[in-house]
Amino acid sequence: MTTDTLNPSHTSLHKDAHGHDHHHEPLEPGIFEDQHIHPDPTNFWLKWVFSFDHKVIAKQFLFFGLFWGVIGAFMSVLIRWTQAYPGVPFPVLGKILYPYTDGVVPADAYTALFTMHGTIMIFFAITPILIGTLGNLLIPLQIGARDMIFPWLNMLSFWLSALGGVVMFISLFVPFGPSAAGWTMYPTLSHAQWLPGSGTNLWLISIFFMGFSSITGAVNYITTVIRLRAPGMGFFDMPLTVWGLWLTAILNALFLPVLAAGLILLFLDRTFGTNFFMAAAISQSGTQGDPILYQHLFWIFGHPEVYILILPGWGLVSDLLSFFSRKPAFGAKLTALSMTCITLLSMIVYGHHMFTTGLSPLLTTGFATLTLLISIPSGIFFLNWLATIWKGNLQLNTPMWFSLGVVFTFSLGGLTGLHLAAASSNALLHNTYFVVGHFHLTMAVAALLSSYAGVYFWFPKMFGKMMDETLGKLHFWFTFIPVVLIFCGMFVLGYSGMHRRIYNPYEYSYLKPLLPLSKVLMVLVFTVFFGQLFFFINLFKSLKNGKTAGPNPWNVGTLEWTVPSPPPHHNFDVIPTVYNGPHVYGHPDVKDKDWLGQSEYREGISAPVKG
Amino acid sequence: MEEAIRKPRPITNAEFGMWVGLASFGMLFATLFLSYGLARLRAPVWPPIGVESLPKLLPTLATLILLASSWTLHKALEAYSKGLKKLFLSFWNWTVFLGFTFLAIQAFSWKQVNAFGEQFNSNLYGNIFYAMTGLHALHILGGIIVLLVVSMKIKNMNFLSREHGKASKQAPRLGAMYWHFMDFIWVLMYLLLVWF
Repeated sequence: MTTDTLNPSHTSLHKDAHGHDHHHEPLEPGIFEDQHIHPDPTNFWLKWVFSFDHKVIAKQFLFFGLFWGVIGAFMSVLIRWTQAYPGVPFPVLGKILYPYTDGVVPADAYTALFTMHGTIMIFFAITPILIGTLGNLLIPLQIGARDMIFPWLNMLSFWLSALGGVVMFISLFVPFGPSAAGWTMYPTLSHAQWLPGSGTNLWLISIFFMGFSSITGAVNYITTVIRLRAPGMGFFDMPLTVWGLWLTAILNALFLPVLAAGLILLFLDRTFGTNFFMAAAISQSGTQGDPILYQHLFWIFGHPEVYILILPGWGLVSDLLSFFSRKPAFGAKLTALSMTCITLLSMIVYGHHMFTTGLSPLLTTGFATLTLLISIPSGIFFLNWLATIWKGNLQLNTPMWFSLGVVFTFSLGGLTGLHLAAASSNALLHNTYFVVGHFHLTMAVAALLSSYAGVYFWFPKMFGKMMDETLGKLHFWFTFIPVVLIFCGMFVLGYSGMHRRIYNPYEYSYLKPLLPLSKVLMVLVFTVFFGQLFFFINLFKSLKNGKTAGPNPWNVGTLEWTVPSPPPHHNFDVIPTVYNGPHVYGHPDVKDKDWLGQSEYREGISAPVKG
Repeated sequence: MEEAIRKPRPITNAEFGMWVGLASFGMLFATLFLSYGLARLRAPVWPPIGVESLPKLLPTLATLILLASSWTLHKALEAYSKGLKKLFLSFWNWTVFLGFTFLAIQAFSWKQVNAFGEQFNSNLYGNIFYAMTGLHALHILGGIIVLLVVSMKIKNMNFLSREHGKASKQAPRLGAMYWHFMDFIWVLMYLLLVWF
């Protein structure tokens, strides 16, 4: 039986997740109706610049994210240098960057540095790479679609990002420097009175564009996943990668507008003299604004945002662990459901960022309890990960190492989350390096390692070439070990009471003994920074003359590996029909190989033919 | 059995996407409503002492105009689904006209509030009023542009031909969804700002 004969005509029956049969008539713009094969664009501009093709947009996001990632990483080097050698000029580049202080990072520049490091890494590096690149590349390919459902909106999404990137880049060089209020932009610190100059205004405009870009992307992702799944593919037949990206998109669509509203009000405060967030401007009773209101608005968005950043990583790691253990993902359905549960919980726990703002005790208890509840679904999928690799036939190649790295760092970060979720210990640890260590391990390092896992794994699909394994493994070890040590070091710093944003902590005598530790962290940061050279060398070397990859170099069953690498413009000549889940590995009845493709029909193993 | 409870016309992909987009727009305005609610909770008296409360007449008129525009839009879509191009265009253009009228009335009520001595940046009461109505007016302006673009597209469209791309065929319905939604937001805003 060929897939051709099973390919649904417009009148075929298709079972959805609830098991209902839906009938698709011709002429109604139904589910499979819109997927024409468009001719390949021939014009250079349409093909590579203003492209509608999700695979090209994915590449655009990749290079955009890598460019900003390097800048953000370099800022972290400057930050750690300042912490380890306060008052000492930064070697080599210091004189160029800060000529007026003879190469020493000045205090105001330091504040701007950690602000920009956070902003850039979150909005310009992780978001474009994990959501922009992998989301665009994988959603259509893994659900068996010809492209995103609204290709035009997809292109808009990238170009809004690019616009936001240009604005942010300009803001780095304006008088008074870029914004320096921390990535959270809390008023009153971010008010024009304390941060004059256009840096903060440009920050607000740029993040507004980035948010707009993410929302357009999210509308596309959500709709594509719901409407364009290949026939036979129920929600639980989707790879967990798609689950993660889809849940992320839902959070993006719902909560970035909240940030947008906050940014608009802050912008009005700064430029038009309104006082939504300024308590100082009291003229009449009941007319003053409230800086805490901004914190509410920011964290209503901000807490979902950390899940926005890590959910795609969780999803793809859940898949990769199964692929490279050559075992079905343990409890895949439960993993998907617990990710959904976390997504829902993430919407109602934001108050744990504000335990020290004088929240009412009732709210504090409520938010602490809800936050601790997150550990239940997190525990479920974490144990699923362990059960997936348990007694597996582990293929320790680069993407697998990075996935295992995510498992390790996420466990460290997740466990320390409990200390911060409990309001009583949070009161002591709030705004210390303990928080920095925690959120870096959970949502920064885990997201970084899973981005790398994703890039190494899907590089052959994107470019048709394999990446070098030796360089990849070197890259992994030079990233993983120092990064884990850095943030474990930060737990120590934070537990000793070091505030996260002091320019020179050693002015306080009780922090003086921590200076040697800071120096160790500085060495480790340099190691990670230069360790990334392995990746960039590997990237360009493999792009130029990597080993040619076949359609399925990893022997994996998800749909993107049934098409050539790189896939043609329209992805699938014939829209595939799905008979199997994404994790059929080592099935005892499949004798000829240890995996089964999602669109491969095997009597007795595959789900009965639908329709 | 399934057939019997099925909706007569299944929701299209573009409409689905529009619903997701409207959820986003909804969250934007929900945030503003939340901020307004928190400001009200904190304030001992509202409007603050010495501040005139908002005029009632002009916003009410604006609300009626906007509701009328939703009705004309609904009639336009009815005509569209029956393939009556002329009727469609006339109702559609009435909607655009009513949209402009709404904006004009909003401008008058800003002017009136301003004449009371309530400037954009004078106190929180004014801040909230101008920012919320202003942001909504911007979205209505965007809606008007969308409606105008659609009407220009439809003008050159042969209603009987099946050749037209599905996207442009759906454009009136999508525009109408957005317009009705912004209308709904305005009614909420009107009730909360003027009457509560």
